[in-house]
Amino acid sequence: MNFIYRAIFEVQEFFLLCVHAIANIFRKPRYHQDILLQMDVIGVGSLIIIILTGFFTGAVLALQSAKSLKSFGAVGLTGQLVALSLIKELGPVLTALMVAGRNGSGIASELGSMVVTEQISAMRALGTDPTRKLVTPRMIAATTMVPLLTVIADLCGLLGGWLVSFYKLRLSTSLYWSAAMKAIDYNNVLEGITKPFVFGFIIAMIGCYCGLRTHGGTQGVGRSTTQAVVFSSILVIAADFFMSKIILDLRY
Amino acid sequence: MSASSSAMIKLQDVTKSYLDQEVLKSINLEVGRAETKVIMGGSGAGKSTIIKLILGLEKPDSGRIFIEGEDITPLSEQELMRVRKKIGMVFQEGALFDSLTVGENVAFKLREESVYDEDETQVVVRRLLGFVGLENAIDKMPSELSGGMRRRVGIARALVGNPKIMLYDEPTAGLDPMTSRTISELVIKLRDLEGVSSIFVTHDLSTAFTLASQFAVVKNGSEVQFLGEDGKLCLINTRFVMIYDGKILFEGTDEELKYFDHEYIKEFLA
Repeated sequence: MNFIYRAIFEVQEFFLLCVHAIANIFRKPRYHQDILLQMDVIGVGSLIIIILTGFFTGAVLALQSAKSLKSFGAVGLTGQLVALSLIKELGPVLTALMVAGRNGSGIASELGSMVVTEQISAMRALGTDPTRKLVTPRMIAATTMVPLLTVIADLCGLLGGWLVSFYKLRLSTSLYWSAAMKAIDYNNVLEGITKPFVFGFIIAMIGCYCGLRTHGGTQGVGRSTTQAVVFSSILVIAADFFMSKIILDLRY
Repeated sequence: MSASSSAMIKLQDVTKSYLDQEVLKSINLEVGRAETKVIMGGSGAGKSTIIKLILGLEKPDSGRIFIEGEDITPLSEQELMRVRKKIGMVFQEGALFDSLTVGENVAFKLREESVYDEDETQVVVRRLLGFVGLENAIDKMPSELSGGMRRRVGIARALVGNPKIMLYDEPTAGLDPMTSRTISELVIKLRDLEGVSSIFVTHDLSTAFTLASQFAVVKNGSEVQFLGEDGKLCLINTRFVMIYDGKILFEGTDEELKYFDHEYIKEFLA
């Protein structure tokens, strides 16, 4: 009973934080400087790992799928398969997981350290709302940067798939890209960039929530960081499932 | 207005518990104008909790808290921001924002309120850092400072906006006697020259007795002098409050404390 009560309480607190963070967008003061700084940390900072992740994912997709497609005599469709899986699923999810590991943990440990060194209390004592100054900028930055990173990951993945198709599978460049372009239609792209908005929001808010509820000194900071990565990763994958379901239901 | 509501800070039957543990059981406390209350007690006795309650960082389970006659217990977080502007708070380890320089830390509140332009902000920051004797550290990062310096910056940051109420949460814990003395002198100066009401939480006896026996006066226009270094004076504007088992065990001057007959206090003073 106690466990259920606590779980409900945590969920309630999380939603309250989300509501406050969103409401702050429409109220002054706004912290443009902090938003830009966070965009730099999350967006530019994650660029390298996103490029690498996207590239190798696309490459391995081409490599593995060619084998199965070959038994149907459909190696020519490799481009389509790579593009479809990347844009609809793997691009958004893998980008989100990388950002969760990199920035979700970073947000949680930074805010957690601020809690245990009383910097959050000091901020409130100085008359500044930490939700406004710390949470909202991170939420805005993650929600806008994860979709952009996803697009970059998709492009790099297509490039990786092409390299494998061209050099390993001996497919012609035009065959690969024309197959790929077939998968890149309006609906798929729309699905592929709606998801990362939600993922970015989840990563930032879970990171902030875990960070702000830190207690118990430096050990607590470690615990919060771990929890932030675990929760945001699970939520990203779960949200991906439900969003895919909803989008499929809507479309067909 | 009744006489009781003229107190700067007033706690009425305040209780507070964390999970199952009752930290404060019915605390009644009053701090008048230009008065300092030194709150003492063992670790985990709820000393810091009292300060957090006064600042509205936490809500009491029951009872009421008045700041300058205004009941702050029913206020929302948004409304509390206005009350907190009247109060300066010095945290245990200084609690400086470690991503900002010393100057930016002190300027934080001014920039948030954006009442001053950049030049005026710089003037205020330099004046406050001058008051705590750290003008040269303005461009340093908090991590480059010693523990004592961090707390002095914390005092400078708390003084922005000339608050009439200051709360100190163990500002001398873990410092050497010389640095502790510098901090006590700052507290005395604020009390005697600026008329600031304050609550000083500590378990450091020598700091507490310094506060209770010395006072500051201005000589020759600007020079500040501290009197009563022999420790024989007994100041009426600085009173001790002893917390034990979530209740106020004793309240009075330092002399009264020395002769108070209770096992715990005798042990504490020994």
